[in-house]
Amino acid sequence: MIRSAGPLAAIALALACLTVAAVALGSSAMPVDRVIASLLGHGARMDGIIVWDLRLPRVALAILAGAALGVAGALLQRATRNPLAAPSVLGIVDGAALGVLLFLLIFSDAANALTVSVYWQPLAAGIGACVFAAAVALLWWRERHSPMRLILYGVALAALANALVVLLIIAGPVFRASQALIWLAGSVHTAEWRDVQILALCLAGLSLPALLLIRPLDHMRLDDQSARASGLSVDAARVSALAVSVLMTAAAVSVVGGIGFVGLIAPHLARLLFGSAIGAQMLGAALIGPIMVVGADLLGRLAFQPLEVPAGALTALIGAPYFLYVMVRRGQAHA
Amino acid sequence: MRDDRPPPALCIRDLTVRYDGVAAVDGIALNVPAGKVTALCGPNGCGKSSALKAIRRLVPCTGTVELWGDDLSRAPHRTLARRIAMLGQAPDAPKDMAVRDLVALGRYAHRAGFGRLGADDRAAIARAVAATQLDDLLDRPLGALSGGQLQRAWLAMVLAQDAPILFLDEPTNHLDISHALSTLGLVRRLADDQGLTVLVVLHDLNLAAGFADRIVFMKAGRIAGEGTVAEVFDADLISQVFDIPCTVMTRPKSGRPFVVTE
Repeated sequence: MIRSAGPLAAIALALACLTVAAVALGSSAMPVDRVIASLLGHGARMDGIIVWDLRLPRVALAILAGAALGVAGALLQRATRNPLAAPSVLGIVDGAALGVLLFLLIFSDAANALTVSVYWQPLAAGIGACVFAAAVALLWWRERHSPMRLILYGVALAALANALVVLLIIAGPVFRASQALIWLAGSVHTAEWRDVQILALCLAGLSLPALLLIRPLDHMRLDDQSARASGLSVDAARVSALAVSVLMTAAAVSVVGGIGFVGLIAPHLARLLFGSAIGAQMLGAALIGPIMVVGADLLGRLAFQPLEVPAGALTALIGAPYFLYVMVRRGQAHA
Repeated sequence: MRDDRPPPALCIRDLTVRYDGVAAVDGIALNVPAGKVTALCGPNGCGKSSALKAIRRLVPCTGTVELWGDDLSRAPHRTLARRIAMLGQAPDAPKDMAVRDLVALGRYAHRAGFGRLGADDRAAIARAVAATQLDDLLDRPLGALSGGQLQRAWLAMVLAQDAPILFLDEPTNHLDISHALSTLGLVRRLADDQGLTVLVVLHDLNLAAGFADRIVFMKAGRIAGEGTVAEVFDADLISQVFDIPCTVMTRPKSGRPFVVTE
């Protein structure tokens, strides 16, 4: 951990600067000193409203969602021993999205208002994510010696979930469609403090099991047989890590929609910077993930003004080619 | 070779391993005496490696295995790992992992939840490192080690597990003759000095005859012969197990037997 202190501090600083920038920049830019004054609670009243009510929830949500997706990806890659495994690749993000969409369709009235508390939304996402993750896991289990099979089943089921989502949008009430599309593409622009609160609560609950998984997952740097022979119940560790990963993804997706590929790239960068110890990798991914999502959101609302491009579209723009790159490189390594 | 036999460390009854319905290990019964080095020998595919894994419950199997009288067939891996340490045929860890981190992983079964390595852990690691003479290599990444050094690092990892029983699956597989001899010499000393019970799968009969106290011959999933080296290292038995004509002779210095083929 000592030797990673430098990169860790640099990344934390980068995230802090990006956070301030994301709060400062927008339809009206605000000087940094006023932003910091407002963040510390003694700025002008108007600045306070812009910072605390309009921009900060959005940034806070992006940070939490990025951290959740980054850590979920790190857990998933370790549990499956597959560097291509990521929540969006394995259909978990789309499964969660399908869950939320069904929830919105079933529990909305004609006035477009929810008939039950929005706090149930993460549960719906969780159920959708679990169903699809379980389906991928069951299909793969018989052929678990083949890493590529996992990815193929994941991509196929992600496509299925996606098709069902499209079907629901087309067949469902018209007023929902455009809103659902934006949510699905992954956007934090509708952020409210309530969303931040929901996600923070979910992540707080999931952080204890994630911490408890550090030692088992560190032990899984050994091959399965060596890990078992030295005392680890590999299957139990694997299933627990999958479960925590799926629930973290669901929590993030339920409030920000389908932001993909963060869970693929953030753990890779963290592995590169901090080595193979899972604790350091999760911490790294929990800082790099937010940088990606906050950065994508910032870019999305500044670069194409007056249009806003959803953050998920931008992460996919970087993530999909990167996914192909890793796949091609792995293919060569195996040949 | 003394005759005062201690009670068996392992008592194996009716052990069977099936792969796709075909029995790789076919109802074997075996006592492994404590404090001795027992070699498991036989031709390729005779089930010796599967038997070793099944005794440690790393592959699905039926039958019973008792350790000093305790039936551990339902014990979790953690409990088993404190009694039996095992080095497999092709162990694998990231190339950028340092030797000291690999050795520390051997303490997994002894450590609880969180927290750093305790005094017991550090003492066990120090003993394992001293036994394998790894002091100078502790900060080296695994990817920078030679084959012999890498094997010693893995051996240190399983020794740090501090279990009274040690299983080794073909530990000399990728080693030249001098590294093979020093690896088995270390195993021999651990049994003699610390009373470790060793069960080792070896396909090289002369290495087995040179280092083991006892040899178990397997053929087609069954035990073909078992006893002290002097009792079972016999030309007729070896010819039958391996389907080759051979002659057994005596080594000039140690008096142990060796086998030659024409």
